[in-house]
Amino acid sequence: MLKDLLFEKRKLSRYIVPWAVALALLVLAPYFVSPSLRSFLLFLLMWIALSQSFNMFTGLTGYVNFGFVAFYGLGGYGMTISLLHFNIPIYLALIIGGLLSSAFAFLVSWPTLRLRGAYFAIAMLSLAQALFVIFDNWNLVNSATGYTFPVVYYDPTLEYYYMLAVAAFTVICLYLLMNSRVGLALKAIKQDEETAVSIGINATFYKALAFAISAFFAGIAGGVTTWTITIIDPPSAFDTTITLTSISMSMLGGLGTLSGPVIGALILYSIEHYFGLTLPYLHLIVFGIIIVVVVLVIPQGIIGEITSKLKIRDGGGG
Amino acid sequence: MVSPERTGATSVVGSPILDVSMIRKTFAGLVALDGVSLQLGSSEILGLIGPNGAGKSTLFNIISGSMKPTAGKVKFHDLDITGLPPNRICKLGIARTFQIPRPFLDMTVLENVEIAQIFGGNRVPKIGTPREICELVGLRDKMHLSAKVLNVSGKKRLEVARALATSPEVLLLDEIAAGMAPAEGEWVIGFMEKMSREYGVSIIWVEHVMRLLMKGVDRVIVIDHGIKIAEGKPEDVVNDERVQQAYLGEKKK
Amino acid sequence: MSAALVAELLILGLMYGLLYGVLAMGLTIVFGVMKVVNVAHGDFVIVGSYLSYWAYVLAGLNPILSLLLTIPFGFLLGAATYLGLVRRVQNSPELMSLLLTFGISTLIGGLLLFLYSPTQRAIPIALGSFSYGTLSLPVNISVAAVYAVAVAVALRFFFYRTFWGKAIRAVIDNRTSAILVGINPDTVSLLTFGIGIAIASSVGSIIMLLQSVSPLSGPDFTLISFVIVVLGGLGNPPGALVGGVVLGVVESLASLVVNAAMTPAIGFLIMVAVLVIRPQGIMGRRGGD
Repeated sequence: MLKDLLFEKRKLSRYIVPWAVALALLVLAPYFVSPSLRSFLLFLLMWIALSQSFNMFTGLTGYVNFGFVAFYGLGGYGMTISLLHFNIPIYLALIIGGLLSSAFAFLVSWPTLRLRGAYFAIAMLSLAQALFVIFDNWNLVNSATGYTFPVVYYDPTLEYYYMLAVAAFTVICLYLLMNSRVGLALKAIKQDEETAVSIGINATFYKALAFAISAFFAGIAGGVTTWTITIIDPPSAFDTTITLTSISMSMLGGLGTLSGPVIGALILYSIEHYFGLTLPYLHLIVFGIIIVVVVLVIPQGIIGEITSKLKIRDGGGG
Repeated sequence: MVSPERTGATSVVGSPILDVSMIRKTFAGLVALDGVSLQLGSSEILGLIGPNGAGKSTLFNIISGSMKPTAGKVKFHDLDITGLPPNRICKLGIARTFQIPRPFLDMTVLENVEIAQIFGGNRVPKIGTPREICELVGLRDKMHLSAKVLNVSGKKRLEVARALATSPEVLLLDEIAAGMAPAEGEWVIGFMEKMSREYGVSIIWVEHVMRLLMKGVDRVIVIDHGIKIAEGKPEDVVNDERVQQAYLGEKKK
Repeated sequence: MSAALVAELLILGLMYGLLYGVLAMGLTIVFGVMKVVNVAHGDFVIVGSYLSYWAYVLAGLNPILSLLLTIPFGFLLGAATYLGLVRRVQNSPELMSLLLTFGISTLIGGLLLFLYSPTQRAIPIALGSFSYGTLSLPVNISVAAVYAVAVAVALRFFFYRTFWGKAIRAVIDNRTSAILVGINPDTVSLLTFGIGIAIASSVGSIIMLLQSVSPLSGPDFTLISFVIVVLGGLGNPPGALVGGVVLGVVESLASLVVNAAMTPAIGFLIMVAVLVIRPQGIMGRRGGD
């Protein structure tokens, strides 16, 4: 399958500059910002990673994954158990979390991806609920109590850099995906799946691939977040607000674009943080309104609308 | 490629490359196809006609893999392809067009053809590069236009071009002439001849524009209410009583 | 395990099934007409519940009587939602209507939470039980079942004996043909959405006889409706009723072996099984020629 990931060179030079600058600033940030700003940046990066992972699947295939938080939660649990039970070093534990999530995605992709959009969406929602119930009652993973991380793992600077790395990798991976054969196939599938299949595209395979990759990154992001907040339990691991927020951020920025989810995360998380959207109902109301407004007024999201008006392509893309 | 003479035979000379046998398809009690069989020979142009609702599109769907038959077999070069998914069947060498053209509207004409060749066209010999194929179907000057701006005739040609990009041995054409101007009809026939004689592509052609089809094909099969009611040379089939009865009430063009 | 217990469970399952089946009918006709999946369906149920709750608290209105309020209110709310929001995404890719109704669902939940806090609300009307020999059936669920049957009969009448009902069926069956014979699809969509939401909010009133609700209970009802619609086939109203009964009976009998918390998992498993084995549902029809 390696030939499926052939990627054609694009004019990287001009496009890459803003990203490189942003990355450089973020790398240097811990040296000159206050701890609270660094913490803000860490969670911003988390949301960037999550929205981008969500975008990797929903943005590229057009299938809405209402059970997205399942990947986050599985990654978190996978990492936690590897770390606390098996003493596996953190970087490896994170990867295991990501792989667990991916494996789960691959497993459920066979029955679910054959379904049309609406069925798939609800099936995934049910799945996430089911996982919550299972983990809540399963003694092997401490059921409702969950896990707490001993102080020895606390290292805010390291956590920051890990999260930065995850966010950066999701952006890079999405870029590669969009500009590869896989991206091309997904583009066709998103537009007209039946026709795509009739010209030889194995839709099920490509969808499953995007699904698994999306799950991988969401899982790793889940792992790093768990490490940062030092606890994990079913309600926090499978919190549907995470799905809601990821959806809102990527929609606002633009599903299917490269920089959209980044912008969306930046805007929404800044608003949430600085205007104290901590009350649950405010969160729901604001995000609900945003989703409705985006669908009706700017369906392609901010970046999507800009790029289609200017007729340029964001991130290259098929 | 050796071009065989137009035989006009009632059945296939030599062994058929496509062997569809006793296809039966029911939908919740409705019998769409009831034991339909046909064979397609190498480089042959086979017409498939019948009144609306006769089951022609269903048959195409079954051959190309978008539907599974309730019973019966489809064999391609002695390989049983019944029930295989459409993308596998396309890669094996059977391509189809859709009655209502479905181009990828976000892409240009050329890109539409290119993508078909990238994913479905790994067989040899190729019919041609995407550019050459655009030329073949008469879309060369529209190659870089968005598929959105094509008219009906252009979209139909694009359907065919996309199918050809997958280097098919068998081409299932679904009403390619309908919606085209009468003047283009001659082009359609010429195109078919070229595909079959020069490139060795076998074609099953469903059409309602009767006079065109009768001129262009080697052999015709008539289906009505899911059953094959006639088969043979165009001139014989036209005069067949059962065929005329089936079309009673329908204008013969 | 006595025969009486099994019989009771069967009947209870049947009755719950009828109620949820009718709820699912609201969801399925909306899909059949507009190809829109209303993710907020369950949230409209809760809206009806809250309406009934406050009618009870402020005016002592019995939930059954409050139906006189919730049905027209639901219809108007549905019509308004359609006109203002849903109509614009009818012809967009399915993704858009899914996201829009998801946004609406979130919004309703948030608004209810803001207005009424997260406390569970219940109407404390105790209705006791009927007894038939060794069988004992709670009155409340019996009333709910009677209501469900009444709605089903009314809908049947509407769909088969009135012009607009037949128009709706025509659009579900073949939209293009319906338009060709002069049926205005916009009016049909408006009516259908209104009816769908009216059904949802009326079920919300009835639900107050059976359980308590909170602003975030909406998605639970959406999920149940969805599982049923999958069983019965999207766009197939009688199928929804049958699917509801099947689900109700199966979950009811399953409670003999599995504890109550796991029942959503059962619904989910059934749904996945049906989707894999027979994607068109128990009663659905496969795409045609």
